[in-house]
Amino acid sequence: MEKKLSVLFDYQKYSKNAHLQAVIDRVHARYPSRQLSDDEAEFVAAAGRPNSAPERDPSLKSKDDTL
Amino acid sequence: MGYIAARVQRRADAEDLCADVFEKIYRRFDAYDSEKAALGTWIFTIARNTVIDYFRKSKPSEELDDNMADDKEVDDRLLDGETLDELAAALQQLPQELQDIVVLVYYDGKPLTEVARMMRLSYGAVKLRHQKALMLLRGFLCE
Repeated sequence: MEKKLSVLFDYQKYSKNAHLQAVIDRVHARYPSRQLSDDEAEFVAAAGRPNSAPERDPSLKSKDDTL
Repeated sequence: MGYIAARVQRRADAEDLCADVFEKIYRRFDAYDSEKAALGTWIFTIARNTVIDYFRKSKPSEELDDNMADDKEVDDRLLDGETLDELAAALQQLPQELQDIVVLVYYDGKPLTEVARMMRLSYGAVKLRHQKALMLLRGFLCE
């Protein structure tokens, strides 16, 4: 049964049967989180926004400055 | 192309595989027998086998679905619109949770641990519900 389901759902990605796609879309609507493909991930900065660290107040000396 | 892109993450690789599939169709078209399978089914089988070969040869670090790994031979009788209609009807008879598990596992390829996290259920609960879904589908699809 598991192999049969795997083959049928695989075939669905190719043939896009409307009835089955409607069932799949309703399930996906209940779980909106989505995994990014490699191509999409290329546009995401790994370290977050650039220059996001808070600016240092030059009047405040840290102990490191004395070294 | 849509099918291959859905299976293979990297677009560049998907495009290369698509070209491979077109080449195979061109080279093997003389061997196509319309009495054995519909043209779309034959093309799908070539595409599916090409994807399986890609995962085996080029990307050993990426896991191939367990249900694809050993199975290049596809029963062509399964692959028609009527069977997909039957599957849709059978899924709609399942309770919503069981529908979700079946789609997330067999369409999206998620492991049960991931499905449990998404559904906010324990792994044990999802595993039991998965087995129940398979049992009910066997009855609906008369396997």
